[in-house]
Amino acid sequence: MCYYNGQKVSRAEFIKLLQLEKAVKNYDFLNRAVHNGFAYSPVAVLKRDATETNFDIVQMEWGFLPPYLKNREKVAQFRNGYKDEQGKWHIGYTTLNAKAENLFTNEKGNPSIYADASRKHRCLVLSTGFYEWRHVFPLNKKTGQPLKTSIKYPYYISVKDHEYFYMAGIWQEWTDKDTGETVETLAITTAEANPLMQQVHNSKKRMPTILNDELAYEWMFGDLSDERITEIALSQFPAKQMDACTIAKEFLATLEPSTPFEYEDLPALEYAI
Amino acid sequence: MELGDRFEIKLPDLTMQVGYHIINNDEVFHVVFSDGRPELVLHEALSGGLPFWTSIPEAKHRLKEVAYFGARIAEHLKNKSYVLL
Repeated sequence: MCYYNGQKVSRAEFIKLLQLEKAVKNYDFLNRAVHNGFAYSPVAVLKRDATETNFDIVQMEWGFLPPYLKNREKVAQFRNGYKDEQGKWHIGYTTLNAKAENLFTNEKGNPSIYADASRKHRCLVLSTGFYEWRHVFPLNKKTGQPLKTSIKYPYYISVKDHEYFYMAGIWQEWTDKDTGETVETLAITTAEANPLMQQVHNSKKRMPTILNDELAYEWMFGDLSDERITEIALSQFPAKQMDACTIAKEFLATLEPSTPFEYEDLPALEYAI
Repeated sequence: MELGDRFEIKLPDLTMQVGYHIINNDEVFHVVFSDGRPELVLHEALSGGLPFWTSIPEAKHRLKEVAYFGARIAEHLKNKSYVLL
């Protein structure tokens, strides 16, 4: 047995903690966007072309940026939070997803940063599948009560019989005023989870807005009212048309992150379709 | 993926700004405090099969803080957690 911070830990745990200590030492917390290696990376998107009757396939930066951010330094502050000159901390904002309920009005009741894009710049994100964590609270062996901290199991979720499917997105052009570089940035809209996703993503019970072909066409080309835009963004893709399988916890570092991986101690998903 | 990789926990006398990261395939929480006390990097490790909160690196003079703030994060995550899309 070894000790770490006054607690008795196994040798294996101790070695793991020392390795973690080494890695933390070299880790720049404020410059790290998120825990997901896919975040802020380019994604393939279908976007209306100039004729407004057809589409282009383009790459966009995942992580919606409001135009008022002056340069990449301000973008990093916006995403990661920062301390100002007085030492006051300003929280960062994650704009990878836009809640369907808040496309036009944010949670504080003010106009949403997504409103303009929702009206003018709707797009479709091409996806083969996505990842979500299921939280399971093990029972304390002594008390029989659930522990306060969950064990998290990653799942890969896809649409049955579809190599690709569409997620609803909104985009915004952003220009770095220092360099003149212009990029198109994107948020994926989210809806309330369907019965399958309520089981998988049981912490927040949300899921991306997945659109069938008909709704996808309307989302991209329709002349829509705010109400209809919200209605489509809120639409819940049927659970019976989706698949979810567990994958290895190290999935982000693997070449094939969707390879199924079974956890012996994990209860199976149970949901009514 | 939506909010939750960074979140705020308001306590009666201070606010914790928490960033969630995966390092070496382990979860760590980077915590900045509104009262200006030094930042902490917290991680839940196992002792005898049961989880406990520790700082990375060790900060033996802050053990009570580590246990207290770690427990606040656990409480927060139980109700509102992060999303990975």
